[in-house]
Amino acid sequence: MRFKTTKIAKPPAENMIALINIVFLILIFFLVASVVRPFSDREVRLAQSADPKSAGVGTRMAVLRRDGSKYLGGALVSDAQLQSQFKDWAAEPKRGVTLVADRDMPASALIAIVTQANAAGLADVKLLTRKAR
Amino acid sequence: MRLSDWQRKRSTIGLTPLIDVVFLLLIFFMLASTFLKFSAVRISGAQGGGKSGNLSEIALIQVRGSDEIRVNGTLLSMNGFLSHINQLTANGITRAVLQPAKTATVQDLVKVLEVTKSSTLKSVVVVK
Repeated sequence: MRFKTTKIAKPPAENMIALINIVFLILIFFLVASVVRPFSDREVRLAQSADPKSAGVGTRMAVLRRDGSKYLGGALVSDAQLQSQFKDWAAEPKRGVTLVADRDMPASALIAIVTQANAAGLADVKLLTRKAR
Repeated sequence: MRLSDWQRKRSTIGLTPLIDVVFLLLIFFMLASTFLKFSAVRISGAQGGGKSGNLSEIALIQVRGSDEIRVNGTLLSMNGFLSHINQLTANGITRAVLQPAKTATVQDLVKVLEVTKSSTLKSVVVVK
């Protein structure tokens, strides 16, 4: 018996060019319109500042959460570890340190850290804020 | 010569790897980027061992909350704060010591520091 061979027609390939165009467009939008996040802690909500002029945001950052825990490069550190990191950074004091502190954290706890950094030899201590719109 | 035949057989470059890489880049930038505008406020703590200056040139600013600021004991709100500070600097005050109370938050501190930065004070140090 001979079956009639029927060729199943290949569905036409979707036009990929249009897809690539859109994806490129979105990619370029993100490249141009956004900046890379300087720290990655979603728990911390920054204080707002209205001052249009500001000191430059450094790259050495210590994150202070509202509950008082401290993070360096995403890792939880103790007071002693933070202090020794400050001492390491103080070898190059010009670069200073930028503290990333939660806005609802007690100010006295922040000042304690600032004093620690100053005692370690870092005179240039900055607090990261977000600009109000 | 049959050059045209060779040209016709040449396969087109595959687009799939290109799309893979572009998608990868897109996802990376979407996750790693932010649209927030950042700024920084300089904070200087008090350090021991310095020369003690003239005490009559120093004002004490105590912050309890966003609307309870005491400058040398005078209770002020955020609105009257800047004019009061400028009045003091006109009377010979050049520096200030900022002391937040237990109830003050980092946000209150930032607000007060910004106002003092825009004022005519030469330096402000924070103490615990």
